[in-house]
Amino acid sequence: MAAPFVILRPIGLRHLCPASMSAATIDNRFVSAVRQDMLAFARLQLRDSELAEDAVQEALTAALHGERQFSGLAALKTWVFGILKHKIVDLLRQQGKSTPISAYAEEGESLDSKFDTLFKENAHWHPAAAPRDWGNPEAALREKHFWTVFDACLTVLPANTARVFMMREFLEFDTGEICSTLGISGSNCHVILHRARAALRGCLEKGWLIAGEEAC
Amino acid sequence: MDCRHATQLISEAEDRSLGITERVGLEVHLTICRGCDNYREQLRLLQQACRVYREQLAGDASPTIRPPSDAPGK
Repeated sequence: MAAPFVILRPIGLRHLCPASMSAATIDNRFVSAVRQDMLAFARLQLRDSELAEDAVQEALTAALHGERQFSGLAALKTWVFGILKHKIVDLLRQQGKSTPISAYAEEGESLDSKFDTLFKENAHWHPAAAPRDWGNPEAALREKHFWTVFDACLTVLPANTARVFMMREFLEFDTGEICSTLGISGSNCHVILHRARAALRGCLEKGWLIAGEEAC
Repeated sequence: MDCRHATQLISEAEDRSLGITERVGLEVHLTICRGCDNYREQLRLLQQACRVYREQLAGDASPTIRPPSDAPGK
């Protein structure tokens, strides 16, 4: 479907001040401001640029048809993102249905074997591999380098494992909803989330190493 | 409790309420194991980072902490 609007130069929503003061509607200015954020969000979930483009396009089209008045751009953006999340969930459900359980297990074997290298035979940490103190988390979140590494780590997480993780942490599903949407068992869901977190933690530690104290 | 099992429970605690035995076992382990205690803090940071990232893209992040598109020093 052809775009019902002209895509202008991308600008951040925060430059459209005073955002909270005036009535907001979906126009070219709004679209150009939020489209990049929507695309980034959809790509993170779907790992497919074309699918992400389509989801964003559909969400914006649906938003235009159901347009309502909002008291500010932030409220309008939240509403449009809500529509986008529904589109993404539909696509994730389709992806999940076409994914055999064995695909999760295959990714799991590979992730587990990497995680296992951190432990001794008695399942306690190898002294050299034990997690270190990363320092002040608030400070970490202000570091540009942290976010670069974080982005890269999300990208290298295996696709099926990542889908479960993103549904939990970015779409804010509880594990029961994830199970029913993707057709996996509750205990499997917990194991997959554990693997995803372990892998992301390890990736962050490697890419964004902070000298810490000895552990365990 | 061994460390590998502890890491699984630390993760699961973010998704479900642990049973009393699991919770007490984990807490006791964390008081004696610095590595697992750090692991828990790191998973908290990971969760916080996801929240900040999500809120930034969806438009309602705290102005003081932001992901790469608007990181200080850019």
